[in-house]
Amino acid sequence: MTDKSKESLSALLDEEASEFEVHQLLRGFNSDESLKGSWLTYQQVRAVVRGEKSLTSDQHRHLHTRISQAVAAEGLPEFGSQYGPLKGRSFVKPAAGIAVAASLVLASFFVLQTAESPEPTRGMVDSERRAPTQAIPAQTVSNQMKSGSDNWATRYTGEDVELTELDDEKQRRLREYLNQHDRMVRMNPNARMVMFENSASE
Amino acid sequence: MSLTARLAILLATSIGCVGLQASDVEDARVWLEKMGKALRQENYEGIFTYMRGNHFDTVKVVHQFKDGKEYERMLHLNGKKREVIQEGDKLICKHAASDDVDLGHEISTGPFTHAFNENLNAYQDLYNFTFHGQDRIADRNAIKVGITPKYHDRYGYRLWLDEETGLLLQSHLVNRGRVLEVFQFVQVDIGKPISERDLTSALAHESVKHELTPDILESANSSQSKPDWKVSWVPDGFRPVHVPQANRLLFTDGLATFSVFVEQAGSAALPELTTQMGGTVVLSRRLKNTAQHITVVGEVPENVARKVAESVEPLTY
Repeated sequence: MTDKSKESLSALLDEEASEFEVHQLLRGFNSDESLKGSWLTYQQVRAVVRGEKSLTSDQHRHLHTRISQAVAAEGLPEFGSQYGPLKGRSFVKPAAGIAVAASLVLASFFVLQTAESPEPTRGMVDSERRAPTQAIPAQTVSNQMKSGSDNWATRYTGEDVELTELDDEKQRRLREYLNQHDRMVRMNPNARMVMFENSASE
Repeated sequence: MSLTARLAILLATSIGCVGLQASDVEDARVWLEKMGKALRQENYEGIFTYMRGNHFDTVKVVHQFKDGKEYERMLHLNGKKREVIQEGDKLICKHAASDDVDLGHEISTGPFTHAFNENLNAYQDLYNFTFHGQDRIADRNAIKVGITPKYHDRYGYRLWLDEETGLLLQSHLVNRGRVLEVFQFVQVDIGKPISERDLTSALAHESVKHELTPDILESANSSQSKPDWKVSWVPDGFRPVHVPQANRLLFTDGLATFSVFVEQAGSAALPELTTQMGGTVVLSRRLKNTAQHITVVGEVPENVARKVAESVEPLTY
């Protein structure tokens, strides 16, 4: 593997690879086993460092092979041929290919999301895991707050919801809470103020 | 190559991020410690922008660390002319006498309010730290550091730190990949001597000033009166912070913060609502079986704020 390839691989890891580099790497993954191996190793090291589960090398290779096959089978015309004659061209096979590829992509995405994402909130109530969030009869209102704070999307979430604009007094109250919070945070450097003996608030 | 193919192979080779070696994690921690010190102890002068939701501020800042105290002046360059001046523990807002500046949530102070502390060991179980190489911000070389929560009960951060001093040059507050807030220096001088004149208000004449911190400071040495309520649940790692008032609690995990206010329900109380600006959520609820009202404010996801509010209960001594 060349230094250039390593740089491109690093850029891809950083999600900063140029389109040209992506093309090169994609070609390289198909022909250069060491490149593919390095990529998988990086992924695994990262997963270990971050304490996450990950796919094994074999799983990666298997997935890669299957998706490559599906993509190859889709038979899509190259960009350059898009203006070619369409008459008589069958789109059934490409569509099926895309469908297979898409399903594999979705499947792999799901697996990878499971591996990559933070876990659901630790310590959250079990009910949140068991049941989806209650369908709150919430609505978003454009709450025109004073003084240019027009970016507030306020949702009223009471059981008997009545959509009302906040009056001036309520808006002032809302800003006061925000302001108090900001002040407390700003004037209470953590290192001095946190009491580490208890996590509870009593 | 078709888009499908590119997508497929990218995903087949897994959706990568960063973090190549264990030493990177240590590097990230070292840089964060450096940042904590730089935020307080460096002298700097510059202009930063701060985007919170759709709200966008441009602020000129002068910061000095002298004799163990911080001195800072922040002049808002857009909208009504106003300044926030810090002298040690004293925080003052100044604005032109002719302007009716609401003393609500208009005094944007940037992510400095997040007050990153130096005790990073406390976060190790809560966040993953990754080191993302170098970049350039405000014409200065920067180090990119990622702070990703291990669970979805708090936000993550992407930080760009000055390579020379560790000062925060740019930051993104992120929730599940979505950027909620952006802070960025567009110009900054670090380490240059700060004169008294640099810290002098530009609104010295015909201005009105308001002290923003009297209620917090006055009881810094007094004992905290006991609240008659408690918060039974907070996300792991959040600790209470000492505040003098009995009707509020402040919690932090060292990076994120949220406050819980409990007050008598009345005509002035907020209705039950949830609202958000950038990464700051405000959630208001009636405390069950009481005449009290709970408001949770802070930089935590909405579901966390809701669960915190639901866990508040009256306390019987």
